[in-house]
Amino acid sequence: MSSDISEKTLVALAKALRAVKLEAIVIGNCASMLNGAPVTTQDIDLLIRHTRTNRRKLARFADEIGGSVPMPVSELSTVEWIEGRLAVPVEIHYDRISGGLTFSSVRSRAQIVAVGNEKLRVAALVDVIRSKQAAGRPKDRAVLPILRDTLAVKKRLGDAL
Amino acid sequence: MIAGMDAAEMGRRGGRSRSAAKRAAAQRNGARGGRPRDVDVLARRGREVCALLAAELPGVDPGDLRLIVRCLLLPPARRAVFVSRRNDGRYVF
Repeated sequence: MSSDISEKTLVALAKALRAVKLEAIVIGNCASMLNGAPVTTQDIDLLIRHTRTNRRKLARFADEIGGSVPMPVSELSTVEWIEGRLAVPVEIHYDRISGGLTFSSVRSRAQIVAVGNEKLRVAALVDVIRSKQAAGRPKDRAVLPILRDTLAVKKRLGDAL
Repeated sequence: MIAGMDAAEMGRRGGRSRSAAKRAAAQRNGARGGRPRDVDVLARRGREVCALLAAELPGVDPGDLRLIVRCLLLPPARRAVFVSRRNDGRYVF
């Protein structure tokens, strides 16, 4: 099942990123979905470079989606989240994610995916799997079998779809 | 093929045509049920791909395979399903 709300959310996200020229990679389960895995999620995870310029762009991005200033998820984490007008909150990860994956390495394998008239840079499924494996939280482990199956199907099909 | 004319131009000319032959052909196709609905095309293609892959990927549960193939056949924006919490505490998709 897919919904109009979800599609509009992705288009609004891509539009806001483009408007502020913030280079971000969609990671996490949102990336899994865009890679064809039949999963759902309650947030959108973005990976960006931690620079002063990007901090400014991020504040403008939060404005674009009618959101709060980015707030830390917890005192122990560098991850921040923005609650805005999108259907789900946006989580911001800086420079690297679990599995020893840096922004550059994830970017090198990421794909540009069209959503409506907009575009999003989406992490490769293999990177999502690697980061979830490394994170090892129960919610990550729960989703790994279907992500691995999706990767196997995609490999078999190659460019056929 | 008409010499010196590319496929796009041929398509445009065909689309503009109002000939009796074109009308008759459209009526014949309509009588056969017309163009298949998108959902029927998606379902048929899904069945075909699953049949192809089932033997090659015996470790993948057939139900999961159907879901994965269906997702992959959809355009990326339509693959997304966000679970959103409303102000009244209920969840919507």
